[in-house]
Amino acid sequence: MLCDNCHKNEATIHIQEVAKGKKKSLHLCSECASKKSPDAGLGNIGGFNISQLLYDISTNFGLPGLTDALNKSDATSGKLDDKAPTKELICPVCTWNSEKLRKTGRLGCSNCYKVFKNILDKALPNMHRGKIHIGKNPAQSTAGAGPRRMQELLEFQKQLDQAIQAEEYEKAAEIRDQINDLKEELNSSTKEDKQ
Amino acid sequence: MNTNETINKLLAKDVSWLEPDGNHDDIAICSRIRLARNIEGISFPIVADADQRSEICDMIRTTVINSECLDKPEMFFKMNELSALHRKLLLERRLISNELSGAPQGSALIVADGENSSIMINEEDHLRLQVLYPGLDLEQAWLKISHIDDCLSERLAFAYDSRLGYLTSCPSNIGTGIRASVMLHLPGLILSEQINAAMHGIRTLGLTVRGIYGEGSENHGGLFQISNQSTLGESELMIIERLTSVIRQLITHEKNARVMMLEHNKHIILNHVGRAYGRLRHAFVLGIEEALNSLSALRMGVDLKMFTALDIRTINDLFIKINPAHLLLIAGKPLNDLEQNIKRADVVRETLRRLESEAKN
Repeated sequence: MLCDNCHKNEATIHIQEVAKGKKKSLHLCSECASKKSPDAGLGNIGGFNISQLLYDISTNFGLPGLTDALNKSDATSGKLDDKAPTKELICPVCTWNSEKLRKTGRLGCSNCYKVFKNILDKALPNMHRGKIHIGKNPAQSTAGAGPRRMQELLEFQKQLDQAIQAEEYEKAAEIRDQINDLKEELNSSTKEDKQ
Repeated sequence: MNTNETINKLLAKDVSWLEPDGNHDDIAICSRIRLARNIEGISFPIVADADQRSEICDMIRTTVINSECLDKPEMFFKMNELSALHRKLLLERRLISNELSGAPQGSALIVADGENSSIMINEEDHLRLQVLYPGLDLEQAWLKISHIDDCLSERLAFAYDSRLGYLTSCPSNIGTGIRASVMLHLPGLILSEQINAAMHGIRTLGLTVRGIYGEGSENHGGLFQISNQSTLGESELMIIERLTSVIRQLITHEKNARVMMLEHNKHIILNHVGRAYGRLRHAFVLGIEEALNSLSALRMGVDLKMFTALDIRTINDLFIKINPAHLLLIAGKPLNDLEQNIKRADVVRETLRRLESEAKN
């Protein structure tokens, strides 16, 4: 699929918004996406500010998207409600509001994740590969199996490199199988941690 | 030790993460992992006022020092107490981000001895842990940074949600909060005009590619930084593994490009490297871009065993030393643009001359 902006490069960033039952999409190549934002700091994804981009789509493409969602959201529940008065969402803990979220693409405190949940639920799938956290958590002990297994994986990887360099392909295949077993174990253990 | 003394101590040492370790270090220069963490119940730095930021900063500093999670003796820098030149030096050594460099009161940096691990305080998040290792070694970097994270987790309550993982100021970092990146030297792909296709491929895989010297600097020094984009929905190990496997492939492409060119267009590589050597060894005025690109060619020449007297470590260090803040501090006085270019040429010429005379003796 070609980029909607330059119509030359392959689009690698896909943004989709559903508002009032209508689905609108924007497909951009990474170059056009990065040109869309003057800010290229750490808070951005691949060089562009996701909230600004959503905002641009809302305004440039006449979508009742993020802006509308922000304006029509109920301040306390964070739920979208067309009948609610035009009221800005404000975090009761840190006073961060939807205008600031739109301008900076950032949140003010942990509680903002609850206040702006609806807006984030729409934006997150465009930023990440999944919706639910898999991986480390603060309660995980230092003696967890992860690091030890990781060390083994590392050793195998080095052995594999050496075997390939020495053109010992049978040995390399054995090591590769061991690596695959270990990877499976590691991935399943992170999933178990999650449950 | 006052700030000037600490900065001089830093300047006097070569950075540890540029020491070749045999881990694909001809093409992968260094591996970096950053972890974003915030303290539960305290507003993120973007909201906090100067007093709150200072308070959090002091608290984090004390906790870090007491936890002994960083190699001693640590160095500590408060951003608002540093001169612009000193901040730039930390940037050039990849110890801080642009954002921290411009941060107001209450932002700081703690650096472990050897510079391979550091913690930025009150950057975009309360804590940004950072670990740098030479070569392609994200696994070791992960073990190290995860250990630092564990030590701090025992002492600080991090903002965490069972569904969204670690909560960060920018939603692009939530979940694992991990940003893993590898700095690659890809002059062969540039010379053989395959670089755009390769970078396009990387981006299609959902990874980020940047030049080392900021947006749009992809061709400066042939250096590229490849990092993960997504932080939610995959474990840290899965993210690292995916990134590493892509980087291994890129390294193979780069090696193939060099071999192919040596076989079929030997004169192009020899001419490219030879001219670069001539500029670096004999120029008396050297601009930053010219220096970076020439060093890149020379580094490839050393990889290809074209120079017996030169080594990768020295060239890696020159990549850092030819930057403006380093030159000014080495010179010990302010320099205008021309003086800077003259000083840069002096530093490079003198380094190469020294290596060659050492090799003769």
